[in-house]
This record gives sequence, C-alpha cells and structure tokens, in this order.
Amino acid sequence: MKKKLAFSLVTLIAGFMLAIQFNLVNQPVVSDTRDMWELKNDLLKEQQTQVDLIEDISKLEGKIASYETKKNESKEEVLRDTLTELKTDAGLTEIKGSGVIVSIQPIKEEILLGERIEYISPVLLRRLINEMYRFGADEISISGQRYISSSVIRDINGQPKIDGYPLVDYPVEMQALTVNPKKLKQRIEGSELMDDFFIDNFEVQIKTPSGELTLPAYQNEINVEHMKPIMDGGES
Amino acid sequence: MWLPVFGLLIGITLGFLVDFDIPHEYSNYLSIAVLAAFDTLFGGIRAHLQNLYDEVVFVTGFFFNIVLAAGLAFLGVHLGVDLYLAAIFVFGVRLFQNIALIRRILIEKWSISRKKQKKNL
Repeated sequence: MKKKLAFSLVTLIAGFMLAIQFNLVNQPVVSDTRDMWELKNDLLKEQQTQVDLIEDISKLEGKIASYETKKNESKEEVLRDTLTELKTDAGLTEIKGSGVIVSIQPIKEEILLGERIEYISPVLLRRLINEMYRFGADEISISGQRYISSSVIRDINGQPKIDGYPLVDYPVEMQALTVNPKKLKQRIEGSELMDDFFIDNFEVQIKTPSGELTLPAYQNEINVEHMKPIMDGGES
Repeated sequence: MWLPVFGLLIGITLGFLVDFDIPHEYSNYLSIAVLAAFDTLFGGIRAHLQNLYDEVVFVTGFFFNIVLAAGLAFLGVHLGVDLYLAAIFVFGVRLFQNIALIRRILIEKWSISRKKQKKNL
C-alpha cells in the first residue's frame, strides 16, 4: 500500500507537470486585428504614458536633489550658526546693541590741587565689572578691550592692565551692553561703588547714548589648555 | 493498480484547473523535466513487472532525473551547446526501451495465462 502511495504521488506530480507543460505549449496565439488608426491611437496612448512617466521621474529626481541640497545646506548652516553663536558667546565677534558708557576719570579738583594721580585699582575695576554684570550688563569692554570670561585685570609694574593693555589714559571708558540701559545706569549710580571710586579720587560718569554701542571683538588668542579638537570626524 | 492512474488523472486535472503560469523561457526545462519524469515512471512500471521495484530507488530516481535533466538543459543554455538534446535523446531511448520491455512482459504474461487456460481446457 505504501509502495503504491509513493508511486501515485510521483504520477500525480508527473501529471501536474504534464498539464502545465501542455498549457504552456498550447497557449492560443492572440492575433492582432487592430487596423492602422487603432494602432496609431494605441501608440499615442503609450507615448502619452511614457511622457507622463518621464515627467514623474524628473519631478521626483528634482525633489531628491532639492532634499540633498537642503540636507547639506542645513548641516552646514547649523554648524555655522553654532560656530557664530559660540563665537558671540565667547566674545570673539563685534557686537552691537543698546548700553551705557561708564567713564572713569580723576577728580579735577585733585589735579588742580596738584595731587599725584594714582592709577585705578584693579580690585576696584574688577568689582565694578562684577557689579555691572550683576546689574544686568551682557557684554563689557574697557578702553576698547573686550572683557571676556578669561580676561584678567591686574597690576603689572604698578599699572592696571586688562589682558596686557594698560589702563592709564583718562578717562577710562567702559562700555556695557544691556537690554535696559537706563536701569543699569541707575543701579550703578545707586551703588556704593561710586563712593569707593571717590575715595580713590576718581569720579564716575555714566551716559546712556541713544544710538547703538559697538563693542569690539576680543583681540587676543584664547588659550585652551585642557581641551583639544577631535580631527577627522571624531570617534563617535 | 488503479491508484497510480488515479493520481496521474488528478495531477493532470489539477494542472489544467490551477492557473499556474511559468515564463516561456522555462518551457524548455519543464519539457525535459516532464520527459525525465515519464522515463522514471515507465522505468518504475517495468521494474514492478520484473519484480525489481525498489521504492527508494524509484522516488530518488524520479526527483534526481528531473533535476539532472533541468540542470543539463541549463548548462547547455549557458555553454551555447544544446545539451538538452542529449537528455531528450537519452530519455527518449530509455522510454522506448522501457515501453518495449513492458509490452514484452505483458505479452509473455498474457501468453502464459492463455497456455494455462488451454491446458485447463
């Protein structure tokens, strides 16, 4: 019985193949009975389809190209934006905006009296800067020197210097950018710093110019000691 | 006896009913496979009549011959030699031989049974 079953299975497969082959060979040939005009019409239709397809292809290709360019541009743009942002934050770019001008100069009466004019104490200057930041100043420059996070004001050979630039020409002019110059002015005027400067024989005048102030970019190199850039795309 | 015939009929009707289409390029392979299948089938019938039938040999032979024939045809196409002709030739000759043998065996059996009948009479 089992023998017969296997044999029957094989005959079934053989029959199946035979039928399929028979079908394949005996496919009726459909004769083309269209006349010339019908053929022309059909050809026209097919040509229209071809044109449509080509149009679709070109459209899609255009889309792909625009996406590609957008992708590239956006990458570059984002990088560029970030770079500019970082540079702005670091104080490496010129910056404009509303602000106040703080000019510090020796009290005229003292000069008239013939007293020797001391330099501005770096400690006092640092305090003034800190206070100004506390009062809402965003960017500060002193005598055309941009004050950034790594700037130093210190006494070098008896002269107060900011990043190596001496602050000995009076009036020492500080420019500070802020959203609300009037408020900053009032807060500085109202602080004890005025008295401290007065004790050192300096007077402080604060102006709020109507126009925009322009703070110069930081001129020196920023030394980065404990970081280095990753080359060739990085390892991540 | 009738089960294999029944299977063949079922296979044929199934093949006609099922709208199973294969590309025209492969009709060569199918034809040679069909030939191989029939060669094996008749070989099996002959072996059965000669009491030499072995199921494993038959079934493996069936599939192996089909694959071999199709493979030969494929190779022929790629070599530019009509190798499938060789397969057709071999299978055709064997088909004739097998059918002839089957015929002889059947005639022999028939004549033996007739002699027996004559003796009985």
